[in-house]
Amino acid sequence: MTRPVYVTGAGMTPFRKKYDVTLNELAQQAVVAALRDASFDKAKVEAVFSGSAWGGPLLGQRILRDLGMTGVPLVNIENACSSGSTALHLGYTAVAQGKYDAVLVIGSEKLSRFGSGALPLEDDDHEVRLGQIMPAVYAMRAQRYLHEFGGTPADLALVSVKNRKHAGLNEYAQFHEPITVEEVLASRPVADPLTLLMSCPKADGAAALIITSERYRTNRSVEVRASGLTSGVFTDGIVDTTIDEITVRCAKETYEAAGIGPEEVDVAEVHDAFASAEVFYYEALGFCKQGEGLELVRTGATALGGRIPVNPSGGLLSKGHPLGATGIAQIVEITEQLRGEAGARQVEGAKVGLTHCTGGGIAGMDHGACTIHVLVR
Amino acid sequence: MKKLNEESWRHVSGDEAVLIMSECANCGKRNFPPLRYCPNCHAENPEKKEMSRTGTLYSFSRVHIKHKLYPAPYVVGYVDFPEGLRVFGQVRADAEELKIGMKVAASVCSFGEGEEAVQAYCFVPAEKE
Repeated sequence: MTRPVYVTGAGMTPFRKKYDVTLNELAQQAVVAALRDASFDKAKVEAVFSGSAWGGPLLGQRILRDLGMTGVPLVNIENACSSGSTALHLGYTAVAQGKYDAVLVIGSEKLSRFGSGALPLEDDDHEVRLGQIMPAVYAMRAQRYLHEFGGTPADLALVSVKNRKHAGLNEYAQFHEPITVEEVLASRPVADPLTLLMSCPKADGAAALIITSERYRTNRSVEVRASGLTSGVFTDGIVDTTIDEITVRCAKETYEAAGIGPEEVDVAEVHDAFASAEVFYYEALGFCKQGEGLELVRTGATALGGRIPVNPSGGLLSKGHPLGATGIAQIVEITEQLRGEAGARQVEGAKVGLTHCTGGGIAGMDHGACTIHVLVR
Repeated sequence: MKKLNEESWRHVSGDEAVLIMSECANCGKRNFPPLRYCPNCHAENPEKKEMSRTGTLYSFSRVHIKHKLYPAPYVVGYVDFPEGLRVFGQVRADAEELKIGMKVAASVCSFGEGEEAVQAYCFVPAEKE
């Protein structure tokens, strides 16, 4: 038996290229924001789940020591880009199963430590030794997709243009200035057909949630109807990479658990690490059929005001992608949307929201991890 | 010269290379690169076998980000082999010459200079038959 679980408090820092404070201090700002959002007494937090990819040992303790919030069960979690959303999955599960009534979930990251360029991957991977990098993984899938279904790099650029327009309405995003298709195509090439403006920038940032049972529910709480987590399935065989297997599988499980289908989703935050990826995820999440993803962005269906707005926050492409923080920041956005507190980027009448966060590059897998959350008001 | 991913290829002659897969004697599962355990039945040290010399280019990309070992731009691709395996590697060709679906052959490429130099398998467009 499980019981309903709610996002009762939500807070985040703006995502920025670089913060001059430590990761601990940055994450503290998000924790305090989440507590204040719900006027929640810190003494009621019974357990903590802290996700970060490169936060180092005991990050949760380092964040909470000076806030006087340790002395409770505290788990530090690494799952690449899905680190934060995996922390939420564990917090959700603990509350749903009745272990706790209130837990704190944190996602935080400082990628400014790595300087510019693609993120480092582990050298024990045989593909990485031969020059594999994340942008190339996405680029080869994009190349194959355009080959099979038609479409051009200019179509992919439309995703970047759309998300940047959304970001202009979001003070938490890193970039706000509108961009054009021509500018996206003319920006520095990264891995053909992907250019710099089709690639998510690095960022520093943190986000936090107060996850509760009915006991602490308020009139601003938003229900987490389902929390899906899975890992990649290994294949070195000949498979169709134009459909994101891990997302399809995780979506099926999560929609079933929620009792909600893709046609009921009003707003979604998806893992647009690259412009092409957002298109793949439209299809994998069931917002359209395979091969029809580019049509959604061409017709504006996924823009604010469209049939199914995707990434109203500006997405990873315009917010930046501080890995561990990303999945939690997506929840912050959907919480604001479902509360009707999203201001200029509000999706009118949004009742059902979805977040999707995949993680990591590893040879022989679509991604290392995938998380999907369905929230309802 | 140091060889990268030495367990997964063998120099034949000239620039030619042949890739090496594992094939489980118990269940027949094939893997590239060769694995220590069969992922299907966990039989240990599956047999190593040579693969076909040519495969089909599934997709490719020209990478413009410099790598500690590889000067940019360099081209990477996935190649599908008749053994039912997809192999990642660098492709020695101008991206303009490449087309999805074309035949490519396993080859030997050298990277870097002096003591840093390494050898690895790579792919080159296969000669027209």
